[in-house]
Amino acid sequence: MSGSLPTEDPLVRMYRELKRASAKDKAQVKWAMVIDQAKCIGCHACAVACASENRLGPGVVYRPVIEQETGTYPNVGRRFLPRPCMQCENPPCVAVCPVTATYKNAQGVTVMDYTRCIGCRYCIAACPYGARCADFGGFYTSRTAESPGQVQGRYAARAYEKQNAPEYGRNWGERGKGSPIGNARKCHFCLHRLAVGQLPSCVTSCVGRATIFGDRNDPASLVSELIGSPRATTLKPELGTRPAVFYLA
Amino acid sequence: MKASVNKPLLYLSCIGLAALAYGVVDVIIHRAGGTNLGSYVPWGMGVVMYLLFVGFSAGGLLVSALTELFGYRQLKPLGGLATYAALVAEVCAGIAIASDLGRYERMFNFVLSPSLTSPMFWMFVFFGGVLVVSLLKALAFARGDEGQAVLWSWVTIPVGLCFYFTNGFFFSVLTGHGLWSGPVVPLLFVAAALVCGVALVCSLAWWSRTDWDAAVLLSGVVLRLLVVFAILEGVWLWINWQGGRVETTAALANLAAGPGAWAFWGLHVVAGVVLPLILLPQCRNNPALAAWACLFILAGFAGARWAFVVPAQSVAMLPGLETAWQHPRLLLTYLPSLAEWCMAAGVSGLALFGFVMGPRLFPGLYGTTPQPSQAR
Ligand code: SF4
Ligand code: SF4
Repeated sequence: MSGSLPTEDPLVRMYRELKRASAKDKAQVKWAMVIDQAKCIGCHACAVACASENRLGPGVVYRPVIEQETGTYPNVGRRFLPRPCMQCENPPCVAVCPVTATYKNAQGVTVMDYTRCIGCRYCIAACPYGARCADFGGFYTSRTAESPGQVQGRYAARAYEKQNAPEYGRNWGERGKGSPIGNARKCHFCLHRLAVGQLPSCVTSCVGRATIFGDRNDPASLVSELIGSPRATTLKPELGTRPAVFYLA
Repeated sequence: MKASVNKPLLYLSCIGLAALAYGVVDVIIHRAGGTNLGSYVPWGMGVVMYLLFVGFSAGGLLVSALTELFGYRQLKPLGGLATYAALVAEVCAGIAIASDLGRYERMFNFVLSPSLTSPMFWMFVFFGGVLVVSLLKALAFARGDEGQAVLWSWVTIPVGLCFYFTNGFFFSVLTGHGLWSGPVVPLLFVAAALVCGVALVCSLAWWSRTDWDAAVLLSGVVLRLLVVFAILEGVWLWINWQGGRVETTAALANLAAGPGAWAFWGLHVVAGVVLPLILLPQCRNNPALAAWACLFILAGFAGARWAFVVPAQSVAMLPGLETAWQHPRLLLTYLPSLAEWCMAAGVSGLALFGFVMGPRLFPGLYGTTPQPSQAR
């Protein structure tokens, strides 16, 4: 085996680092993500895993994978840009929220308080990355046919859909009329998974191991290593939002 | 003598009220789910109507300022009417924006967990301020308490100015939307509100026959303000065009040639600016013409507000975002739903009802003696 090939799956290393971070004082941890565009194959597995993990309703997406065409004919290329919330250090969405329903937690993640949010969508308009969604309610199965007695039937599927989001470690009850319907929603680095020692859903589902996650305050972590790479960039740096999500271009 | 009520307009307003009932029921059942809004176009008809009616409410501020600050005593008879118009418009604006919230029942959080960094919080504060001051001023006018009326007229001026400024400030901080951000926008909002508000008072003064001479005098003020507004709007468009940001010029192109371009060109520019600019200088002895010119301005501002709110959201925050995950709530295009049209027609109907019934219900506010109905 060539010595240049990785000897360990990055996931194994990230899990080890996650354990290390979990043992630290919470205020000493700063979560960060690095997305290697050279490794992303555009399979959308992360987007789907996220939607399933967070029970995202119709029209709500935390991590779409944007397809980008580069160059001019005949020298063209195609690459992918998965776009989670950038967890900005200076987030415009937080500053504009009139009721402090969104704020930065100690680990640098921009979080939502669904019980406070009035659904004004100001934060959605303020996010320069389009990283927030409004949950207008509804079910994917609203227009599907019913086939009684079969798993594929609307009512059978509705039972799955009615399970509400596990977000922020709280039971939001059956999906119906209560929060997060009517609220703004966003990627939160799967805080509920991190709390039980699991990596975010998009990280574990990434086929190309293009999404790396970890504690930025840990100099030995893989994210810290990659953030130091000359390939590392952020989106729209001119806005001064200081994202915690980096891209290896 | 009781003021007469214009029956056709009253019936029209009742149709509006029926539409409002439909809109309210839809909001109660579906919340924002009954709208055609999405995550890439999060604001639409509700915000347009809010901004429109907020503008209409500025007449109270300007009439107070002209009377108390600049000594236009001839406008004094319009004080009560302007205050009443401001109150009706504020109530309509409040309904329009509250119905647009995904969780309207939590509005108390503005008080329980306020954020001082949010322009929306300040907008809420000054909205409440204008409402309370207008209410107190209206009471003073209705009671004929001159001293209180003067006091609240003075208070209206700073509170109102702050309110109309914060409405523009609300948008100007959104740096992700080039068309909205920038320092000209708050000034543009103040100018727009003053034009709309005073145009409303002018047309109401003619229609309710409160004081035609004052209406003609106001039409001159409207003309000057309209010129100021047109210049500011030109500056705003020019700066955005010259700035050369790709997303901003794309939004501008959408404003000028997109599906809603009729609202900008037809309704706003032609009906709301050019036509009044032609008509208003000819109104010296013709309050009816002044009132009609003002009505054109009011209708035109519906187009102006649409052109401000909707096209700016027609450009993706990141190229390709709109096709990355597909759903009707993730589009860059927007057409209001039936419920949204009903809400818009409803608040307009409510305002019309208020203005039609105003002289009958609140004669004290509309001025002392209605003038004879002969044409002038
Ligand atoms: S990416 Fe958008 S939603 Fe996420 S923290 Fe930054 S401004 Fe807020
Ligand atoms: S939608 Fe919710 S989180 Fe966003 S600004 Fe409004 S209240 Fe705050």
